[in-house]
Amino acid sequence: MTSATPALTVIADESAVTCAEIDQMLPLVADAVIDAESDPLIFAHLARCQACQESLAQHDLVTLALATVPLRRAAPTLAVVHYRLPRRWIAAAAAVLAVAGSVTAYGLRSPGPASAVVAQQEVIHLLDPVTGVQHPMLLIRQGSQSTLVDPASFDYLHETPAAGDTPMMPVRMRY
Amino acid sequence: MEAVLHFNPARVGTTPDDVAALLQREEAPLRRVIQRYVGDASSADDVFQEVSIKVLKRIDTVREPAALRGWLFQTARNASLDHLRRRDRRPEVAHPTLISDMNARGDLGRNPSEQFLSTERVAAVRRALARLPESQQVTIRLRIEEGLDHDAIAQRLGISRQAVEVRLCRGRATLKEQLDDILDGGL
Repeated sequence: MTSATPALTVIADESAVTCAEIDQMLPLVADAVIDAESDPLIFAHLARCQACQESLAQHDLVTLALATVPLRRAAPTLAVVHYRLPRRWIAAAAAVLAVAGSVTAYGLRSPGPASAVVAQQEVIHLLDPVTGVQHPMLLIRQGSQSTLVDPASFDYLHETPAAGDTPMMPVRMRY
Repeated sequence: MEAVLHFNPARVGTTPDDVAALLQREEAPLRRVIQRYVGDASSADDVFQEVSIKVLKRIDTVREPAALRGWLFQTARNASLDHLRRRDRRPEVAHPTLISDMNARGDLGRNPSEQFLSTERVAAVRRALARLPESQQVTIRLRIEEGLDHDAIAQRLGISRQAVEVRLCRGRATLKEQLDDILDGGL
């Protein structure tokens, strides 16, 4: 025999959770480690608190921005980009591009003329020796020269580096 | 605080009318959540319709009545994020010269529907990520860009799951702090 479930249900007192406590948990909420089922008190607070919703939305913006596939946007705006290429990728890049003739790998590239954008492009994958992760890279061939671009690090709306950016390159390699 | 919900998802006999009444009562706060992400009213209408359908289909998965309002919030947030992801995958058709011209005029990111994930904000987040300590950068990239779960990241980096979560939390907190500087007007 089962007891009847009341039609009216009192919600738990979410005021027991403070905004400061919620703020500590928001990275895990944004990271999908915590959800409404695993921690209903946090989500009950979020449902009624505009300030915490705003904070969570900022975390979500970070997630979306970093998850954005950069190739689609980066490719048509090569004339106005600068980018960074981690040093440890250079060796791997050299191996991949050995067949490409003269190779130039830049960590920082000044804007070129619009005509310089007209080049063949293809996506290759480099194995990061530290993390073991394969990174998609954009290989741009123009004549006998190829340029390797890290699309994940594109800062594609700025013609000059941001103040905090440190140029890790340029390094020119010929094979 | 409203202490009583006139709806119990665990109650046998939940009907579409019950759900419709719930949605009507919760429409305003749900729309505020959606609007924060989506921006323009037309897209917000579309997302709210998606939320309504999801609620109707999945309300029975909420077993704990106290979790109902939080679940509604989560459903609205997830639908909004899905909307943004779908929009971001649409083919880019603009010519580079056109994009440059738009940028020079300050047109990019001015459309309300594009505001949340504007190109300027994406660029700012990527710059902020590049300034994080290497250990946090790698962990965040593995999580977000590669989609690995915490256990997989821990195995890949040879650290504990707890260490992964500490790196993610610290890194995300720093990124959010830096975002605050460019979002002083709010999202």
